[in-house]
Amino acid sequence: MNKTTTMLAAAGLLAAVLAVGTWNAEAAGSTCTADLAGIETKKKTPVEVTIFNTTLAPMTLDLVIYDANGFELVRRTGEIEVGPQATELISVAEQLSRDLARREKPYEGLIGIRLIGDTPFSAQNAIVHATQYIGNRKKPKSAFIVRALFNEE
Amino acid sequence: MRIASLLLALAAIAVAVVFATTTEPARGEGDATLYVSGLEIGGKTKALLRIRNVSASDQYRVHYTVRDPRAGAPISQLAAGDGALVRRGATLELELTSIVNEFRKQLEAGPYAGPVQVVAFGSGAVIDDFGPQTVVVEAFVKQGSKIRPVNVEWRTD
Repeated sequence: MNKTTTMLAAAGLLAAVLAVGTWNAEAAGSTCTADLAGIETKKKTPVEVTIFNTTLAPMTLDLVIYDANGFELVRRTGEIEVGPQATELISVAEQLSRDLARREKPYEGLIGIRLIGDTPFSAQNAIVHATQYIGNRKKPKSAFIVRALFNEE
Repeated sequence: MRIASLLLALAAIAVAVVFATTTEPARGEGDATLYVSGLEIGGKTKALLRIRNVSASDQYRVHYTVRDPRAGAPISQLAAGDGALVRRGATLELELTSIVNEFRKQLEAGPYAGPVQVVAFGSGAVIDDFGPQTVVVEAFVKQGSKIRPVNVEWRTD
């Protein structure tokens, strides 16, 4: 066997290994993040996050809430479950106050929200938005919608 | 005997296929699905959805389903049966409280209050597909005199 044949065989083997690796990564699915920003949580500006699963498969997500400086306030790993064709509504105020001591006040101010999930969670399969209410949640004076920015890894 | 059973089974499958294809409205390949979320109904809270056909040549049958978002279960007639005909230039207005409560009345259930979601698609397109290029959607929630926006998004399979 000459040098050229050996090199060609090695290149072929390398290509095969790379192909198998790529196939495995695709089979395992990808992780997707959905980021929401430009929202503020206060007693009179409640925020509600909507996650609409448009598929027939369930979605399990992580939820992270950051303060204005990027400090992680809340992390819920695998706690957000959205059933097939269902919508999950998350009250940010509830998430921020859940782990606090009895008289401790929850964070107030600008926040960033990140949702992380594996396939089928993606820009094509999920609809994610936050509703920023001005005033009371039940009888708001007004409200606006902020859509999520999706990034797939 | 075996052949007769086999033929009977095949006939049953054929009937099931015909039934499934006739009950499911025909959707074009390029037609998009409309998802409206962030809606709410009940008491003085009303949700309105307006769908305007701005296609140059087509009329569509709009098949919409109002769902209870928590379970994803329909709380209106599935796909609006044969669908609502929206001619070129026309606007279809859906007042979701009445649609849901009328459907529930038929099932002898009381009125519904809470968040809802709407999924809609069109059928009958000949030239222009049903989607964001041909249909203008406006949706909002009315709470007393206050109006708030909701989220409207399109997806193509």
